[in-house]
Amino acid sequence: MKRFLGLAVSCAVVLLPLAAHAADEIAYIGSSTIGMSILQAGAVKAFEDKAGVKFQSVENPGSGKGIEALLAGKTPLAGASRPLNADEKKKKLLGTVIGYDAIAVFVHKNNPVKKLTKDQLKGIFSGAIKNWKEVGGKDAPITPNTEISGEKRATMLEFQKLAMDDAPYAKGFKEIDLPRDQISFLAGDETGICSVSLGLLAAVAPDVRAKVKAVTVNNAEPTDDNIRSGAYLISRPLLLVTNGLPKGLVKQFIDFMLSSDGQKFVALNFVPVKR
Amino acid sequence: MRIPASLKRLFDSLLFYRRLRIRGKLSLITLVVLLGFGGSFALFSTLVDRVKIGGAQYREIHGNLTLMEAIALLKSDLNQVRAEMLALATEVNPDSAAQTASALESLKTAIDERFTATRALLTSEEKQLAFDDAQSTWREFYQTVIQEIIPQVSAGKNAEARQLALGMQAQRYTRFIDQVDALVMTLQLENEELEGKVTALTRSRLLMTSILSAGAMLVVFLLLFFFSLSLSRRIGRLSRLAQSVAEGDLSGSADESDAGSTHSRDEIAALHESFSTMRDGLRRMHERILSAFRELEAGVEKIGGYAGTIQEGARDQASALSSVDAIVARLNDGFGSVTERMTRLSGASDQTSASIQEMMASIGQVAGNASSLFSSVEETSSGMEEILRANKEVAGNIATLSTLIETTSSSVTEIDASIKEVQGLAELSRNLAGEVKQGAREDGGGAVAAITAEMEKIRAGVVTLSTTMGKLSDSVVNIGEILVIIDDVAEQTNLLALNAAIIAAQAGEHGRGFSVVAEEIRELAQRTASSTREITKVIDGVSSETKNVDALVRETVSRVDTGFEAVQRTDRSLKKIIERSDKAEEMSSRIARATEEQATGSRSVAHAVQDVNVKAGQIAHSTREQTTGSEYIARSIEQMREQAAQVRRATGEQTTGARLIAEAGEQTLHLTREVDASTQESKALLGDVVGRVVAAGQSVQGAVAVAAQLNDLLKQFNGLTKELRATIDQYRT
Repeated sequence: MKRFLGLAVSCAVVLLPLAAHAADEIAYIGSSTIGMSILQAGAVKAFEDKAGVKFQSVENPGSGKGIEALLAGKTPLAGASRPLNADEKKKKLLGTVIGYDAIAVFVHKNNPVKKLTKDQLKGIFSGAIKNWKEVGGKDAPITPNTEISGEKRATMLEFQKLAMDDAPYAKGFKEIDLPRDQISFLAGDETGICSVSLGLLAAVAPDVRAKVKAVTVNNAEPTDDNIRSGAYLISRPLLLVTNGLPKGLVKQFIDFMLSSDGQKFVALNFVPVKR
Repeated sequence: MRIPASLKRLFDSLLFYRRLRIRGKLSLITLVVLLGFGGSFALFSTLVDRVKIGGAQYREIHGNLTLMEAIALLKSDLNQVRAEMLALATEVNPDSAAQTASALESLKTAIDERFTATRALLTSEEKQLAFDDAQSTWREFYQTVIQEIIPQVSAGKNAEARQLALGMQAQRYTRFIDQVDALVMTLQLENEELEGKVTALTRSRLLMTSILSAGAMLVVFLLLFFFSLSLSRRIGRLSRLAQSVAEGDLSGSADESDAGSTHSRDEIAALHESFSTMRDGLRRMHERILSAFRELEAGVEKIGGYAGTIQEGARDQASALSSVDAIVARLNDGFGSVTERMTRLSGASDQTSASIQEMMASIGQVAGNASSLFSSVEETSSGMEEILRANKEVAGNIATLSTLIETTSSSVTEIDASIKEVQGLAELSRNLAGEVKQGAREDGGGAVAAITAEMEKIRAGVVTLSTTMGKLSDSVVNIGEILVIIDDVAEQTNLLALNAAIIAAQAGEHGRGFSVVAEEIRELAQRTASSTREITKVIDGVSSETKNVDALVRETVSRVDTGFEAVQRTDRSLKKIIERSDKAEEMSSRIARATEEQATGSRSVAHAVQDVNVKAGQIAHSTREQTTGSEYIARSIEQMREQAAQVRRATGEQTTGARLIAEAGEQTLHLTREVDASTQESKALLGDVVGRVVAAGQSVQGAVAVAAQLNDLLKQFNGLTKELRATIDQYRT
């Protein structure tokens, strides 16, 4: 009898990790753009109601940390608000596009500048261009605000990569933790400029929204089509990332996010992949 | 220990195997082998079905590969469009724009078709969504080329075109690549997973197949091992049992009993059981023989005891006689001295009374001696009586034995008679079978042959008749045909005659004679025709009669055939009867032969019984002789006793005489002469006694010799019984 018990225990020891893996759990670590503006904006709750399961956690430390956590096996699902790089693809990470986000460049409503090219944006944020008149505006110093630099914030990195050819941000800009607050801050700063996720515009109060405007970049407006196709320069895909093919609850969740019900939550702030 | 206990339980649960017959066991083993192979084969088949080219897994993998290929082709197509676009943007000549536009137009049609075809291959909604996303990027890319870049190049605005191509279009291109890459990655991962599944499936199935085969082989090995082990062990036991019985041990102490017999119900167990039953039967038979033999031995022992007693009695008699002899001798001696003294007395008549006293004493001594002789004879007589009784008992026992043998002999004779009866019956049945056969062969066969021959003859006659009738019918038909011809000819003749008459009339006077002739001819023709019609009627009648006869003949033939068939059936039955009679005869012969053998056996038994009877007769004869001898001795002894009594009386008288002598003493010397004469008389009597004693001694010697002979016979009998006993004792129970 003992022997049989021993056999059962050893079987269990061998099978437990598999069982633990197979036991369906779902959690999210990753991009705050996705985490805050899609998942916590109702998508998680809708999925939980539908599937009858609970998300163990939704954490938003950013795309980079989310992918690290995913590779370390700390979460079955990560989110990235940027395309996966070659290295990540080589590790067999699979990104499923649920929608697209654009980094809009906001200026104060009273600022006459309506268009900026990529070079101009690069100049402004790298500190080469310091006065609005250099880009066709009033004679006034340019006062950009950014998120906290040095924290690998996806929006900052994407902007740096797409608009600035990876040139470093200039020092001394006003640093604000939450992107939403960047817009609020801009509403009170007529010479200010900031590059923030376009979707966040919907998240700010209407009076604040009335005091800012988005400029065109390289003559492309941040329309849905332009954002999807990449015609708008500073656009990026919103990815739900899995290590290999999604399975079980994670697959259910991704399928849900791609369904019309899930896409509604993407559409709250971003451009849904499904038309 | 728990494991052996659980193993034991396992074995107990497998006991049904032991209960199977040998054929059942072998069938079970074959079944296990077949199941093992069947299972392995089934597993392999399902594996092959899943994995083979065209199988479910293969189709999925292949479908994904086809999709990846299509996507790669789309990418290269888009690359081509991009290259055209870039070339155009750097082109200086505005005319080439139109050419590029038309080239791109045809390329677009091909690309759109490829998009449609590829999308049709996509199975899941999610993939279709991603694919649609990429397709919309492509459309925007293409529209920008057609609607903006080409017009710009046509208008000479090359710089703007270049800016668009290198800026927005490049971004779109990158986005397209990203979009399709995710799809390709999904397909790749799916294929890896499928390949993993196939590998795992293959491995697990191979493992299962191996385990199943090994398990089946193990089970088969174990079954065969135990089967052969128990088979050899049990056959060995059986062989030892047979060996022990062959060596004469019927006790069953060597019977280890079939260990599996509590469970085994197979042929060996049955064999073992039968063998044990046979041995027990042998033992019971042996015990019955032994007990009968013990009774016989006891009888023989009694006879031996009696013989011993006879011998002993004879010996006692002999010794008693020899003592009588001695006493007589002494008496004789005594008489010698008396005679001597009497001589001296007569020689010297003046001898003193002292001498007479002395004589008196001597006579008293003689009287004492005579008394003791008498008692000795008495003893001899009683000893002889004992011998007689013993002899009679022996005779009685021998008579009983003889009666038993007679009974056995008569039983054997009865058996013999029964066998002879059986033999006679067998012979009778053989004869009867022979008679039946002969009857069937000669009478039945002959009759059938005669009937067959007769039937054949009838048949042949009928057939001949039928043939003749057929010929007749043919002839009638022929006649009918000829008659038609004749009728025809008569008709034509009639017409010709009519014509001739007409022509003759036309010829007038000259023709009158001819006309008469023609008229005659016509009448002749008409008569011929009417005769012909009558003949035809007759022929028709004949024909129909012929047909009736023919039908009757056919019926007859068929009846004859039926009869023939019946006769043949009878013939077959007869043959069967002969065949069976043959068998019966053969069986009877076998019975006769068997009974012959049996009769021979029974005769030899009868002979053996006869031998025993003869021996018993010899013993009886010897006993009778002995009895006769003993009776003779007894008679002699009786006579001897009477003589001894006379002696005693004589000595008594002598004593009285002596007293008178002693009283008269010296008075009369002449009396001494009388005494002397009496003494002489006594002496003569004593000589007679001696002669009779010697005769008795001789008779006793004869009795001793007969007893010795009896003893020898008994010894011989004893030897025979010992031999028989030793033979029986070879069987231990």
